[in-house]
Amino acid sequence: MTTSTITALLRNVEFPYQDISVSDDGYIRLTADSIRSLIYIHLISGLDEGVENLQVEGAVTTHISGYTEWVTQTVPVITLGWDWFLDYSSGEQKLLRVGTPSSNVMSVDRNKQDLGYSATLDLLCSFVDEMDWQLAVMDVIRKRYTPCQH
Amino acid sequence: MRVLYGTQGSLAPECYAKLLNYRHQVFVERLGWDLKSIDGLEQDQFDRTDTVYVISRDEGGDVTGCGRLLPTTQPYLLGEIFPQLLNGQLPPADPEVWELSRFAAVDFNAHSTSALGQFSSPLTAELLKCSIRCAVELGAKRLITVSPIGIERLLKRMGIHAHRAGPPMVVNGHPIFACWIECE
Repeated sequence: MTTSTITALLRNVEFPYQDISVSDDGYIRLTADSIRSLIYIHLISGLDEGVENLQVEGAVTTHISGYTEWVTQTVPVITLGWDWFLDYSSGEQKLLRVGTPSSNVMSVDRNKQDLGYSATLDLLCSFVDEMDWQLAVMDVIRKRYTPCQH
Repeated sequence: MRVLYGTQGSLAPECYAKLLNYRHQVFVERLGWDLKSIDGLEQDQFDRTDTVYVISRDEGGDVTGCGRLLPTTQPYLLGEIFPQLLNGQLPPADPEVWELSRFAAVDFNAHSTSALGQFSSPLTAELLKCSIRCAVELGAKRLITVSPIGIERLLKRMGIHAHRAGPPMVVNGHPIFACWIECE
């Protein structure tokens, strides 16, 4: 295989990771693959106001909901946050996403054309639902809101 | 709900005083923000002669909501106090970008038990729409705000195109962020 052939092949390969920069409108434009390939770390999670005084461990409650925030360690930072609620319907406690995530990304196609606000939200919904975030958030909430026992 | 807007010079002195007292009640007393108030009137360096206020009042003339609009071509809250929320970007300085700050819709006469802080009034959405309309009349195509993350739920329910300018940061125990609002 000649050098020119290899070079031509490389040009046609879409690397999953792109340079990250902020556009004039504040969006960071990335393909779906790039969005999915980045590593997101937990920033903060909390309960909605009015729920904070409920005892999390062993409490009988009607509704527990909150928020969670995740970020990348890139420069600039990609932010991804969403709301959640505690679901008991299946007999076990699990956290489920509520509504669409909030972010500073706009998804683009291979030609760097915007896929649009709604399509980006759909992508982020799918991505969040594939993420393994529930245990981390549950652990943070327990530590943050369970009263200390002396 | 009656909504009016104008600069300090165009508002009746009593109305302006009620606005500042309302801001004290919401931001200082209820939310515990570290803001300076004198005689129960909350004001800062961004309350200038070119600052535009959006005010909602009830039938009795009491203030039930407010917002403050500042041109980004002059000093404004995000640019001067919270530029770190902009993810390394320079604060916008554009006649088509205005900042919305001190936005609140709490009706103290409604005796609501809602725990939604500064957005507890059911008239919040209407006041926000009025604020955006006012900004458009002033030449804005986009708004930038420093807000608690809770405002995103309101914006989404209203179908407003908004997105983050950067990641939230925790200030006094609450995550806040810079939010772009498209005035479409």
